Amino acid sequence: MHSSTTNTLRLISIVQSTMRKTINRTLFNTFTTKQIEKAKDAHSNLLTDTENVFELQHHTVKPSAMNDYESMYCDYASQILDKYSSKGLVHTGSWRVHIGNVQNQFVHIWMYKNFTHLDQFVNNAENNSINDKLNQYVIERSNQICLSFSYFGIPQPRAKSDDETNPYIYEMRSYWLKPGTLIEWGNLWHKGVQYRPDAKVLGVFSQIGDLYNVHHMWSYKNFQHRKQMRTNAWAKPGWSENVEFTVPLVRKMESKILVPLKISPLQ
Amino acid sequence: MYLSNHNTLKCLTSIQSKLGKLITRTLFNPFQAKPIVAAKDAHSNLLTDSEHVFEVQHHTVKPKSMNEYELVFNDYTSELLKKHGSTGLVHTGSWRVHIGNVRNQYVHIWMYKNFSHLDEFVDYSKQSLTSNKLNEHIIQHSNQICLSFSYFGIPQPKSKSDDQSNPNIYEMRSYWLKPGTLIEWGNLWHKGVQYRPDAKVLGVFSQIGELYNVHHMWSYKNFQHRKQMRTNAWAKPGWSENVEYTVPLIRKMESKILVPLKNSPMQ
Repeated sequence: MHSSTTNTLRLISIVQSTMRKTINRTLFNTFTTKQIEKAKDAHSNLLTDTENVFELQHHTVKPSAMNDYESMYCDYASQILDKYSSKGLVHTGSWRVHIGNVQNQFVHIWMYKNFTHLDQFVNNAENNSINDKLNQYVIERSNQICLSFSYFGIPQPRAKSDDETNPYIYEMRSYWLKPGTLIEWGNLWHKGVQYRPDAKVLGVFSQIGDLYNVHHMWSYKNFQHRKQMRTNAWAKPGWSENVEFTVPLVRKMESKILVPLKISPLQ
Repeated sequence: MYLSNHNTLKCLTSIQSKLGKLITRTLFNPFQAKPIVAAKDAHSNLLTDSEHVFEVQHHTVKPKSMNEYELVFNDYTSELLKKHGSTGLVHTGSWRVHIGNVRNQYVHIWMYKNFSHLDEFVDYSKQSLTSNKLNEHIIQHSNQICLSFSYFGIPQPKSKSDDQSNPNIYEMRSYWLKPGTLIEWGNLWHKGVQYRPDAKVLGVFSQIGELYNVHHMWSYKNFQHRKQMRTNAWAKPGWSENVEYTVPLIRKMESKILVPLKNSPMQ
């Protein structure tokens, strides 16, 4: 009686530990057995240190109307800024997608002071005339409200340098994370961004729109510069572990090469 | 009392083992318990052995303009090659989708010498009138920059053999992998491609654009030939294990049958 109970108990504890290992391995890939940190507070309190709110717009435009759209958008942006910049609206930048999943696309980023500032723009009736003209060229538009990760900071305008014949190329890497992994992502990239001090422009996570969507934007002089910066990061110890730990958190990732429009404050 | 304890323990053990099996089976294919190789260096250093960079373009065209598009594209290609052929731009091939998820689509592959070579094409204002004409017919265009797996090599031009009445058919198999699995994929297909020495054309993984996207292209004389080659592979020992191991790495897969355009260097 005694031995059979002991054996049964032993068997149970073995099964439990095997089950626990199986769960860890299956849910988080064989890479990592570290616990994923849970959120104890709102993401907006834990990951960001400013009130600024970003609107990221993706406009998919008819391929035959790309140039028309661009000149029209120039007027649209000046009009909006005339009206609202005194109240704190900032045009962070506008780009055309040069290489990406949807090539006939433009990306625009606008910065508001805080969430309350967004209320001024809810009433559509004010924006009508140029917006309608723009809409003739647009096939699809999507936008999201994002907050900036504290370790990425607020993007500053940058003028094109005189000796540059070609504009800077911007790489926007977008990640769709598994729900619940944003804090962990924040912690890992807080270390990770130190390996890439050279090229960082913008790092935001979405609050409204496609959720658990993170965008990192990097800028490079040209493709050769990009290749060098990225190779250098791999040479530094610790970068490959960082990649290893962030990879299981990602559902899907995408990258785009963006070229700034002429009116973009970020060149 | 003894009996009821014993029975309870037995019951518990059997439930736990069933649960354990259920979890393993549902969350993670029972196929594989081998750990996935993590990346220790950039994919571009580990998986490829040439500097060549491929641009894979997908143009979704208005169904009624397919023929016109083909004619304009002919002119567009000759123009591009006249301008940039001397600097090393290579037109690998152009195909029309014959069977696939999006049938009104063309696939074009261009090869650049290296990443720096891409910089010449960033300034889009240099784009010609012909590309504007092309854009009239296009609904959507997407592109990605890819690198070639070392064991697939660089695709060479191929002309149609004289006794062939029909062109070769090309099959493009596209895989969207789970993040972090590219090295493992490379290792497995390094062995796998030896089972299919006959038909391989191109094997690339994406670097910019949709990420963790792999394309393999195979060419066949006709559908019967395709069926034979694929059946033969299964007859060889080791092929089925290869498939078994690659399957858990895949998020999504798709295949297209492509027919080369008249001006494609690959026929």
